[in-house]
Amino acid sequence: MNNNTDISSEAMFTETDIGRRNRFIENVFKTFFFIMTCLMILPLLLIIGYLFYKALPVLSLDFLFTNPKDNMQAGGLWAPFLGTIYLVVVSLLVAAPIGVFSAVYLNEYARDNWFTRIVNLAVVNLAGVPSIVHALFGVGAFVLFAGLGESILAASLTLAIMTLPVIIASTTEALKAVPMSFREACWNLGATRWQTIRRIVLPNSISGILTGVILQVSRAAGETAPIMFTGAVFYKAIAEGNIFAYNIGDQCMALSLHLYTISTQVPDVAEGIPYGTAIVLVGSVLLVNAAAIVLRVYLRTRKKW
Amino acid sequence: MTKRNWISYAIISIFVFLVCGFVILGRSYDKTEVNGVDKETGRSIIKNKGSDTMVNLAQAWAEAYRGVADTVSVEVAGGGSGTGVAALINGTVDIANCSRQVKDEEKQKALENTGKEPIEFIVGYDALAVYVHKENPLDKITIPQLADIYGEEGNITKWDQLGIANSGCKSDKIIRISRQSNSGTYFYFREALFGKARDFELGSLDLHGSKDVVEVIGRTPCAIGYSGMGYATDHVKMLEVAITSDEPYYAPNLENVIAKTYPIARPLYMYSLGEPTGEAKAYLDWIFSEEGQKIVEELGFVPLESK
Amino acid sequence: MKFFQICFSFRGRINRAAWWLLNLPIFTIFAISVIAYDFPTKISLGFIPLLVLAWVHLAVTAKRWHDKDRPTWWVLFHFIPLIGVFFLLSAQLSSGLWILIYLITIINGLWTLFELGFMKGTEGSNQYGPDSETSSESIIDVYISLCGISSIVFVFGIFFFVFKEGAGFLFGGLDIWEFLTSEEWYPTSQVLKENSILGEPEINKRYGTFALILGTFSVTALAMLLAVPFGLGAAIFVSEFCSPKLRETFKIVIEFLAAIPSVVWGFIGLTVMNQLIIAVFNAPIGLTMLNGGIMLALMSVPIIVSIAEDALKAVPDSYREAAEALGATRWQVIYRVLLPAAKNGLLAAVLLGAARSIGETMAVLMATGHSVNIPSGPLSWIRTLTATIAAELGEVARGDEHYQVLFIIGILLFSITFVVNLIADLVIKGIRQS
Repeated sequence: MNNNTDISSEAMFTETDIGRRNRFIENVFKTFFFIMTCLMILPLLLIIGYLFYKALPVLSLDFLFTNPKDNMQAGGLWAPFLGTIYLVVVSLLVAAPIGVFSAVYLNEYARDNWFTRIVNLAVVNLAGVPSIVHALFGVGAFVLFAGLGESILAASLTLAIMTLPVIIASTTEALKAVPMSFREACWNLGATRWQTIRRIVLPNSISGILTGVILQVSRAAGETAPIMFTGAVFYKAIAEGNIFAYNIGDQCMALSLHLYTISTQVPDVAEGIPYGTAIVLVGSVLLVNAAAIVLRVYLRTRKKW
Repeated sequence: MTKRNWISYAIISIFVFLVCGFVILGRSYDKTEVNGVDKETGRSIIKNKGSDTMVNLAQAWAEAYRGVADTVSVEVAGGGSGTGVAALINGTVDIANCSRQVKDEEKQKALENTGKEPIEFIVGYDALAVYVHKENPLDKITIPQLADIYGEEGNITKWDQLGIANSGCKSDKIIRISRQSNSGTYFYFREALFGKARDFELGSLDLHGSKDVVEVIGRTPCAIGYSGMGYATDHVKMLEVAITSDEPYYAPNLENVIAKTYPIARPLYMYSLGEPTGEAKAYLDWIFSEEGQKIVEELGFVPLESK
Repeated sequence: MKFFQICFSFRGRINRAAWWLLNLPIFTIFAISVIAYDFPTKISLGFIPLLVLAWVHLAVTAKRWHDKDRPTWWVLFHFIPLIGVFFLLSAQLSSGLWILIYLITIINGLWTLFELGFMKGTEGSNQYGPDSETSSESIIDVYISLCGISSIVFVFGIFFFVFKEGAGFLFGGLDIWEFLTSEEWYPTSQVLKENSILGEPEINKRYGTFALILGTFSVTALAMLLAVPFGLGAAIFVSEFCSPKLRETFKIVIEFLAAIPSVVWGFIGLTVMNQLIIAVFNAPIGLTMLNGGIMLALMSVPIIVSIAEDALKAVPDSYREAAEALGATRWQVIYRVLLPAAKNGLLAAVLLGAARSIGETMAVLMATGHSVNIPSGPLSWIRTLTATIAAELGEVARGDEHYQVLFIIGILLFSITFVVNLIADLVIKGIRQS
């Protein structure tokens, strides 16, 4: 094409062989990548569909609100479900303030020096530590050293530390998105650093912070390894319908561990129950995630800059 | 200024005095309370922990016991015999479940740590059945054969070495299913096969649950494995076992275990820290009662013979 | 006012926020110590920090009274509940007196809480000091800085506590060379060593993790083999070929994929994939490296996609425009311009995906067969480092050699992922600087 020195306007708009071939190649690759993307998404749909199909016979509200019974071969999910909620709520109470403040520190307080780089590296590494190592840490630090024993508190603290990076990452991103000019305007009015953060930065980044918190919930709800040795039990009978049935110093059942035990250790479990447990676990985690997404989209439309 | 300082010192000394009094009284106050009572619900709690083999049984007892004594709540945790023993030593448990006997040195440790010696109770028996796929033509096996299949440097690796044609298994290789190396089941099976003389050959599938073992065998024609006889399903077959090829073969069932003829059966233990008292004693007594022993049988274990 | 002055001095004034900020943690700590440690029935060393906290509580309360222009001795109202409890515990009281003390305590508590926690101090300065409007800021600064460095504390804490549990055996008896290179994992052997010298019987326990290390790396490699092409392909598609709307949808789906808990992947591996592999490959058993690899691939693909997509997006649009102006097709732009320009980010994506696979526990525990085996192909069954800890930690006696070895495996895992993450971080830093 470049050799043609006298391109008429007509020739410019007719397709050359090379152009056609290039477009063909492009389309081939586009389709190829599209198929790859779909192949990644397909498993998600298949898995959820299959779990749901297998779980259909047992799914009902009763399934959620009755205890496992007959040696966990029948019954519902009340005790593990409530246990998971306890673990998530307590870990959230610990992780959310620390995570948000940690991000505020990194974004608003820290100068760009070696120490900040180390802090950032620590956050990345905290996210990368294997969950089973978190479990070992929980055993060493909370169960044994702090003397909490195997309890909801010990398990939640382990989960909190494990999920901290989720909140930090999401909050940092939200804080970064607040334009610098907002802060400068506030400082010029004589506001202190904290007043600026409190009145300007945090309100403007609330969507990102909430997203982080919600993602933390979904992550904490699904984890098994860190709670296996720090506070979750095989079986514990609690009163049905009483949401205060657990004590924070006691052990509890948890959905994820319950799925593991009924699928590997309990004999003769009714066919649908493991699938039902899996779909409740996946369903609640995905619902929480969907909430984060909806919130994000909704708040983005209200963004004023 | 000096006056104000004087006031702070006075306040602080009053505070320290009150806290000390509070603490001392608090301690004596607590002693009058009954041990192990949940303050909110008024329920007594019995902490029960240990063997994964027994966890289903312990859990069934706990569940049934709620109907017997409404004011008592039994907390059951699995984790394995080792966990139960560790909890005994740390004094964090009322009753420990154990599918092996607690060693003397462990008893000694518990005595040193808590001042109480673990008291042993046999609450039932468990027979380890040897499982194969239901279409496997094999019906019986001897302990030496099992030792040659599972043991280090064992020389049985193919099904035809056992004298059968396992048509479902194309490669004819025996796939050994075992348990993770510190479960009570693993310990007992190893003990039964070769005492302390040999180890298992590596390369077996060391599954994490008794049920897992049976499920995997149910899907695998090449597999052989061991698990509690209560875990049997329709997809697997239990083999008859003999001590040597000259001895008679016995199937794993109630009569043979009670008669002590089936060679791979073990007692199930519960340990209490010191002589059981109060609610824990009532619970153990109930376990030995007919009702408690019925649950043992329902779960595929073998009840005490006295029944 | 400085942070330490606020905490310990009985002079000056503070505002409500400062009172809450210091008291909420104190209340929490007291509540935890009552619940978890049976305070005040057990006296231990942990009691000293509680006394310090009580001092802080009093100092803060005194300053809060100052803020309302009240003298220091109003702190004494705080002792009414304590006196009440003191009476309750020490004497047998008639029920009328009991109720009276109870009522006084409750009313006093509510009143002080209301006054201290919710009522503003006097405007402007008073005899105790200037206006207290911004006195809480130094506390907030300290809190935020503490939270900021918490990640460092936690990372060191993780290393320290895992190391602490395993250190005894790591330096006292473990043959590290054998630990890393022997494939014999017999942590509970009872066999006596054949050539035990001096007649002292020695039990032949062997802690060789070579097969486990190989298992971890082979299943990770297989997962990466599956995940990297798909992950990068999807990242390219999402970042270069998609309309914005479609991109949003894909990203949401990928987020969902990332959210599925690992135990559910393990469950799927155990039930669905197991039978699928038996049917497709005619394998005797479906719990294999391939099974675990597929599960790990599905778990690490979202990480790869999102980081790779970020890396592609970070390539300035001017690169694309320049290349397109030269007549390059989309594919040529991607192949010749974007991929080279984003290669560090893509490498980091792969590394972080691999780190995720190495650290994954439940899925591999349930799906790979869990067998100490030198892997010989995708259909052999294997065992990983993580799964070994998860399977065996529950049943070991605390402080036992075997227990310590499991923690040493934890140190090994921590080190591996630390190094991989460090490299990924340096690689990403590399792009930022260039």
